[in-house]
Amino acid sequence: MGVKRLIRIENLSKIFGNPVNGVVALDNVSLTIEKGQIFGIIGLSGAGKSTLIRCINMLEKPDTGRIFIGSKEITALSGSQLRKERSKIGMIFQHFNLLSSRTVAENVAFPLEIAGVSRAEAKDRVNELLRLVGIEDKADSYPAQLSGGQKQRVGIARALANNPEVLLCDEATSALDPQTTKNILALLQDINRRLGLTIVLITHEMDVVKEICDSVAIIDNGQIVEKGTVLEVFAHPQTEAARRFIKGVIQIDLPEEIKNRSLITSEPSEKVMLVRLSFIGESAGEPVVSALVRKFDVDANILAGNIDHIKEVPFGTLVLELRAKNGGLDTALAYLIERGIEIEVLKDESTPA
Amino acid sequence: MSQPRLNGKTNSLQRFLPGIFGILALAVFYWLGSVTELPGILGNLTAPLLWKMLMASFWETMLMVGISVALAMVGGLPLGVLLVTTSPGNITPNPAAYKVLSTVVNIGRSIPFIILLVAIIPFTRLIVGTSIGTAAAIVPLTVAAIPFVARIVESALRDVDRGVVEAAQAMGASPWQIIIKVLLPEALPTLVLGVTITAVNLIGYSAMAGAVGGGGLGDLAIRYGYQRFRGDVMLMTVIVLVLLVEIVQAVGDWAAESLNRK
Repeated sequence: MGVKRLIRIENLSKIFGNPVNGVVALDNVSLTIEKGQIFGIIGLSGAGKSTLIRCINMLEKPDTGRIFIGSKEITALSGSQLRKERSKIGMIFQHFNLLSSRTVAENVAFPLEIAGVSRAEAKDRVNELLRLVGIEDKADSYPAQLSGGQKQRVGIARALANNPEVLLCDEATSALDPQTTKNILALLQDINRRLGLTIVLITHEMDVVKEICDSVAIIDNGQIVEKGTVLEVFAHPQTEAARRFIKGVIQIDLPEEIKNRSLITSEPSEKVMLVRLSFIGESAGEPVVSALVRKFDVDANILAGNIDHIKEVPFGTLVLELRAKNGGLDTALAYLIERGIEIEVLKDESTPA
Repeated sequence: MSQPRLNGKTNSLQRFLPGIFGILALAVFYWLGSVTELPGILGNLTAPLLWKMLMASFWETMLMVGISVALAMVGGLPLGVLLVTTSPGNITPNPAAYKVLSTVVNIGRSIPFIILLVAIIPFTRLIVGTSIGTAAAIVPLTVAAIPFVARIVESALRDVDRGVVEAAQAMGASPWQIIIKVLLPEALPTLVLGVTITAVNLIGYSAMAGAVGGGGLGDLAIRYGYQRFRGDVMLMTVIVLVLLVEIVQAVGDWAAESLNRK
């Protein structure tokens, strides 16, 4: 697999205000983003994610550090060279930022005008783009006459006009309702697949990341605290920040009544245990619980659980109360580990009846 | 067209009513003055001679204000644009240039017009060859209006959504392209209202130009109405000025409204 790194960010730092007691927006951030990926950067407001994405096209100038797109060092460019490079980086915004004095078609033609594309050529390209984002019937409307979702479609068409290699999405769905958000994300994913376009998006919603991203970086206090494929981060969150975001999407906290449940044994050779199993990929589709019951003579009581899909890979957790006699539990757990299932023992102190 | 825009149109019709009334009233006065002589004070107000003077002064005012507004736009527009683009954090930041421009504009704006009028008489002579008359009044009017227009343009351009400018920058637009293709078109309705304010202001200023024999309605009011105690001339001049301002404002509002796409 010839995976190509498209964007390389090296030791990026940015402080707003004076260097001594200013606000540290970015603190030595390094990232690589592969070509054709949808890369999510998630963080709370004020975490520095907006500054980070705006550094990629130099709307914000970093204090130190370098950014490469392909083989070009963006941070070393200025003036007309930078403008030329920028025309190959599309960007969409939370508040769409359309020109209110221009019609939809004229808005989409705007970047072509800037790039010096001839009028006739621009006209064909605009029609093509409006078709791509599904708003060809609104060509002569003004932005004020459009809904939020339609405005963002114009924004996307405009961003794609000059056939960019990268599309930067600055909180592109944060001003939209959940249904419209889904539609816009579906459009972005469709564009990513059809055009092979690399998409970098920042968001504060884990839902967005879960929906379309391949990889994710979590930014907290100006630092990247965690990065990896979305599946990795969801399955094995390493930091508190990551867990906080995942919690919003997947239930990982146990209800009190399960935590405080007392495990009662009816005879001395019986063992009871409260465990949480985490599945990723194929193991989620396997009938492990029934295997436990059949093969190891274990009683399994399902207390909580959920199965979700991340990029079409099933992913889930199951909280079980397991009960077996004569050391049957140990072999059962060994079997689960062998199946690639992650086990967390929540409680194993049983109370005799 | 969507519902809110239709509502906007009704509101603007109401706003234009004084202007429409003004045009009708001017037409009626003009017609009365040219065809009949009415008895009593009404006769005085519509006497043909008074009307001849009024109309001559009216056109002088129109000429002075029209040319001054046009010249002030030519001078003030680039100044206003520079005041925005050179300001800190904008598209071509230049703190030194901004400070100098801003100070010069403030000095220009702080000199009372009547003082400016007298103070620049040598400059006026240099340009039009005389310091008396309508042509001579255009010079101080323009000089006074340029810094005013600069500030009006500045505030109109600052109202343009920062995000839109940023979007243009992200697309690789040059500062010049941003000014021509983003700032000015996006601010156009506000700029038109600004020109209207400037014109109304200059109508007021042009009355002061009468003090140096500049001609126009103000001149008429001072020389006939005030110095010769002709209350009827004073009254008519004021009425015509009120109507003129109404009309200019109404036309400006209408133009701004019809350019507005928001």
